[in-house]
Amino acid sequence: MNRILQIDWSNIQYTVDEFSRTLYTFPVHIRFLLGVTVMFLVFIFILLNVILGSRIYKTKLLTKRKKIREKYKPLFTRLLFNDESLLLDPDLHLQFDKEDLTKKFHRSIISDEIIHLHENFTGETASRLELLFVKLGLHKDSLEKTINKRWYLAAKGMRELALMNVKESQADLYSFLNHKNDILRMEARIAIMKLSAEEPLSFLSKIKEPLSAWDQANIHAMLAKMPEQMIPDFSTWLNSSNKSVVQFCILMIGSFRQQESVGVLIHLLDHEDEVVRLSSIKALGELNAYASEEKLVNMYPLETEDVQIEIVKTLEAVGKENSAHLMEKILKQPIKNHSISIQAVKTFLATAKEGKQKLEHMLESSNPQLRLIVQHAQDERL
Amino acid sequence: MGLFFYYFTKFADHFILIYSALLFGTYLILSIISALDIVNYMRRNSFIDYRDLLTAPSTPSISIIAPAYNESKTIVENARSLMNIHYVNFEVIIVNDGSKDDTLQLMIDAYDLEPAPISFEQKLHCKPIRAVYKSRIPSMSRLTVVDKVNGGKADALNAGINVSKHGIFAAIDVDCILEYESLLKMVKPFMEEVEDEKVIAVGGVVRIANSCEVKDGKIIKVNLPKALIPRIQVLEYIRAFLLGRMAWSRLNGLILISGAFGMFDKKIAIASGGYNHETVGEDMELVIRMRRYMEEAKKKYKVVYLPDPLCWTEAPDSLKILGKQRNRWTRGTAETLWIHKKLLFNPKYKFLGMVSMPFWFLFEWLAPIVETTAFLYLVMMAFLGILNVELFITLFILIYSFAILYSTAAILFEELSFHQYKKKRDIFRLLGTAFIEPILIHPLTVYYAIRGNLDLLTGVKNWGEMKRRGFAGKK
Repeated sequence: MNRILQIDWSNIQYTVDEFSRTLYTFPVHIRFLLGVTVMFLVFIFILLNVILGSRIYKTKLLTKRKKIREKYKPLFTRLLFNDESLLLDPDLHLQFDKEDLTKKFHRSIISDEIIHLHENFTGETASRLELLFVKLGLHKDSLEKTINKRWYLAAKGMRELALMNVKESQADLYSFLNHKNDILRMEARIAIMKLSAEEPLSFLSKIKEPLSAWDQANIHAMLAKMPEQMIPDFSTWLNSSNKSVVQFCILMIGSFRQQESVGVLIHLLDHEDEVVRLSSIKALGELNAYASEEKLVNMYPLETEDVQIEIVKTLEAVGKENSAHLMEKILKQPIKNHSISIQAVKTFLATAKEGKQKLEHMLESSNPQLRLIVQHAQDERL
Repeated sequence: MGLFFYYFTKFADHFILIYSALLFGTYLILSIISALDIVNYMRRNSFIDYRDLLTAPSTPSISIIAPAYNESKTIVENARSLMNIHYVNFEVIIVNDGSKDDTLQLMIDAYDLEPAPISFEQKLHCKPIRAVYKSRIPSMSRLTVVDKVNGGKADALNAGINVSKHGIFAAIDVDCILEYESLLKMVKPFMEEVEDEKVIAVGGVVRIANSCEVKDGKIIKVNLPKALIPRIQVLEYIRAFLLGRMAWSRLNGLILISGAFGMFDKKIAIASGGYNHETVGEDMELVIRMRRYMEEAKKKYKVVYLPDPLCWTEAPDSLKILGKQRNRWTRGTAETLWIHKKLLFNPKYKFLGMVSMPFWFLFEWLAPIVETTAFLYLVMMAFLGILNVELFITLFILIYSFAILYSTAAILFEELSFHQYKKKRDIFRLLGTAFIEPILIHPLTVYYAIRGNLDLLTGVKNWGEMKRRGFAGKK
């Protein structure tokens, strides 16, 4: 330490000057390269500090969160399980430290904590948490987030409102249904589905952007968790100008077994769009719609291979003798698509009277390839 | 002669400087694009709850194809691990590519397999299939084992595609460990495709599993490898996957999806001709060919890349194996670039022809050659006593500091995004590795690349054996 203090600073100045003088004797391109190197070294130093700083910041944040969580753990337990009347107390906020309800960061931790607890409860306990969320005015923070220009904050706000069942926010969410950001559109749909008890799919009439297969799978997964009485009649949207909505509703008709829509689905088999026809065929199969057999058999020759495979599959569920004739025809022709031929064997066995014997008879005069196809079709593992 | 030599040295000095500047500039631009895209991806991903769809029947069916060659040490565990993936609709096809050991017999015994009468169309060329096996155990119904004559990895993958049932296939190294939600994350871009833009392939980050704790085919604790060679590869992988490929994906110019784990549209892969047997870089070659097919058909398409750590693999832990691997990578790149030379600087192929391919040619394949040539040039100048020492030292420090800067940026991205290495000590060790890698291992990787090019010229075709230690015993 003494040595450091004894440094002759005027000498240092001399060294720096000497270095600068030497530097200026270098050619320009070397000085330029040295400059770039110094810049790189500075960046390395900054990045190292950011890495270490982010570690420290993360640890600090976690500690703070843990501290606040621990502080209110007894209060939350009391509110939820012991002292329910406390929720009706107009001075409920006095149970919290003033700082925790005024500082934005502290409020967000309390909000996250209530939402996290809510995820683990249903029924009355969940309702109490929803009431607490509103009583502390945390829903206003969420509403404020929804109008934030940064999309990820707006999406977070919508998610919070949906999770905490803040029904009065529903009307504000419709404006996001056709937003250019797909995550905002998705969050708006999810929120509306959660908040609207009577018409969870009312947004289907309003959306202009196509629903991707991912969106459709998500909506389907949410619908699967809803009580039966909340599932709407999907035929309502079959005339939608949004093709993806039509496709989704057709698939849902099949999935939720809405038998009353069989007629409309048969009508849709004449639709000009292949995806709509394909979805209708799948749905008819799920509905075991025997009435569709004739139409399916007649349309088979003119269809694409993808649609043909689906027709043959569906006929396994809805077909009778007519289908058996078609399958026999397919199997007697030279094999052009293995998937169709394998499925045709299955459908033939399901629809033809004494199918097995007829198939054996057919095999006597056919090539070994068909024999393998028949064996493949009959092996349930394949 | 004197004048010629003077101009030659001037040209060489300038070439080295300009090449380095272009290289640094390109990498810096790519890092910035990657940074922005990772932030965006992380934000978007925070709104996706994958758990809801893990069991949803409306997700597309996937065929997982894993070629196996002499994998008797780990095959039974690896197959079990693949079958325990969390997803609803999938089949696992393990292709025994004519192993010389008892890989097939071990699977037959462990999973009670028997030959099954499978009928399929041979849409892609591959060596003869001896038999297709299915299990007698009902809970193993997802598993199909294909036994075929040895033909290499590309051939085995083609056989797997021929036998597969579903419209999307995932090509995977049999010893890879997949993350819990990996299949769903990979299939998401296919499900999000819009009508006028087809998603033809999706790639994900491959991470190094050496020193990680593995139980029942799952990574339960991520550790930084203790040994230096795998640790350096951790750094290389973070750099390549987080800083490089993310940016290429954003620019829709990605031409390499790791052979360890990638997902593809089967129709497009078949229409493009499947995997190429003529190269050891079959993973890159397929992506370029699929892109080329789409460009020539004038169809809009996308190759998507996900920054999530989805797949864990064992990295070489000896210089000998590392050398073989890098040698093969170089040969693969060179062969692929040669096969598709028509695309280079060809405006007909737009971004693919004018940017992606030239980048790989100039900065991936050519870089080690330029580096070696520059080194030999400097040695020659020193020998002749006319080495510009100031320039040499300055350039050396500049390149060294850039290498550290680039690695530090990669570590920062990892730290701020996926934060896989939780221990403070690991981060310090990783940073330390960034300082020693350019001096200790980089010269060796350059040497391996040069050897790769020489081997290619002398007609060496082999894949180079990768000896696995396996994860089964690691806990």
